[in-house]
Amino acid sequence: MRTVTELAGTGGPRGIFDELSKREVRRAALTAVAVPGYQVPFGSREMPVARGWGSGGLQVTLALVGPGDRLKVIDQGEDGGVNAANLRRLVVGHVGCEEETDTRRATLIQSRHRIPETPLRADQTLVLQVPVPEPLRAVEHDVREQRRMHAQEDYARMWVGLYEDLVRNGVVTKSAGYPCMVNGRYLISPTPIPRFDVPKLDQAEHLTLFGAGREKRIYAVPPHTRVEPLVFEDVPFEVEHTPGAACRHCGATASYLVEVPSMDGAVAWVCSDTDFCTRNREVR
Amino acid sequence: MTTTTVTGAAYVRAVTPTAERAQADFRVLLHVLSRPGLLDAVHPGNGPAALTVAAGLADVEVPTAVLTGPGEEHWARALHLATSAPAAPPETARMVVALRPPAAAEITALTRGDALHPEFGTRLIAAVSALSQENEAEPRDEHMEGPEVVLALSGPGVPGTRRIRVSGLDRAVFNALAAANADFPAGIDTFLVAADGTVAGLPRSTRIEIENGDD
Repeated sequence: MRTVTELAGTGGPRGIFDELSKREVRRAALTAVAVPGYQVPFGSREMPVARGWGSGGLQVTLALVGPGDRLKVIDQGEDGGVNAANLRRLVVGHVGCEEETDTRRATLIQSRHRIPETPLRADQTLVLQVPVPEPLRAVEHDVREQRRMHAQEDYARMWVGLYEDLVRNGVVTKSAGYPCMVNGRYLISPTPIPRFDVPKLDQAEHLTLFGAGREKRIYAVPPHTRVEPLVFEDVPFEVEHTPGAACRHCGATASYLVEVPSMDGAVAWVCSDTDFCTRNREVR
Repeated sequence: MTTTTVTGAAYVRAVTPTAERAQADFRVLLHVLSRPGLLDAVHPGNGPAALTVAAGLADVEVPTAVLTGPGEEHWARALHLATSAPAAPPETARMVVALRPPAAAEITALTRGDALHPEFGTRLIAAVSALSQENEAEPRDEHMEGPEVVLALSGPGVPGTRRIRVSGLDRAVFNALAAANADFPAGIDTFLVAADGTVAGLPRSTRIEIENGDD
């Protein structure tokens, strides 16, 4: 006598993301690459992480990843963060690929808030988790109007917004998610990466895919594509830098540093990218 | 069971990629589409390679048209059966698979989407006889057999210019494609798939110039 289980066969691994969902994401990702910077709508699925905690990035990663990949996941530049470690474990357990923390050896990198310090290569793909994909939301709430503005490349109000920021505060205060033009056509929010990381998207060797799960949007910056932050001619684009600051572990001054406050009021600085910091310490 | 249905099932099996194959092939497609002018290869299946590429992307949500030559109609049926992709006329299909060389007029008639909806632009998967990388502009060869064109590609994903040589598609097809993509962000995203599985991507953002032959 045969049981139902025998008749059904093994049926492949149990999934958190079915093949139809993967196809949906894959098609959207291909369209996103073909129209750099355009936010392609896609059928975002419920994931085993809450929306806003990387569900978009997770869907893109799951659509891309294969058993031969080496997956690195970072949160604020850190491989060991709770969210990063859990996402990495979830994907690795699902597809059986390798876990990786060394940027140089990773083939697929999912990230929140940072682009690794080590320059990425053509054989690496970066997936960024996007909480708010729409750069125009700051100046326009109506979604239909946002779509029209993108369609007609009408970004005048974005410029006005930047100008108002500048005259009120003396500097452009926008730090994370600084608005950028992709290939001179589409305005994007490069997710909450600091300004420091924006130049890494310009004419890069690697492909960057942006996944917004809650907002159901995927967009892309292909390699060798112009990514220009919105700036006025007489106000140069500046990245975050604190004179005199150096990482207290590795001594780096040219990496993106984050402040570590202590009880006595003194401030120390550490590299945000822990993998870079560890390797930099070994070199020293 | 009649012989016809058995053969039909074999065709369906031939174009159905496993989940692993679909994933690996997708990475190849993503690679070549983000780097126009570079070639890579999908797994050659038992059916036409172009059809295998389409089968990895199609599903019930993708109205698909398959342009077949005489005696190839069974492949169209197999794709619709394997993926549940509904059949649609090329002018309204979201994905068009050209197993035979399409006419320029057929390219012109494809849906391109518009500035509000670039995602409605057709995904065209066209079978070609051969694809190769071209290092620099070759002198014109007047004694070529069959249609062969050298395309100079530039745009996002291309540092400077890359060239590929395409056999099996007429230059009129590429002229029509370049014209259809002139109104970015509306346009047609194309994969050229050679019989051996070699594939090239021509996203709508790519500027296509035909370098050999006369108009």
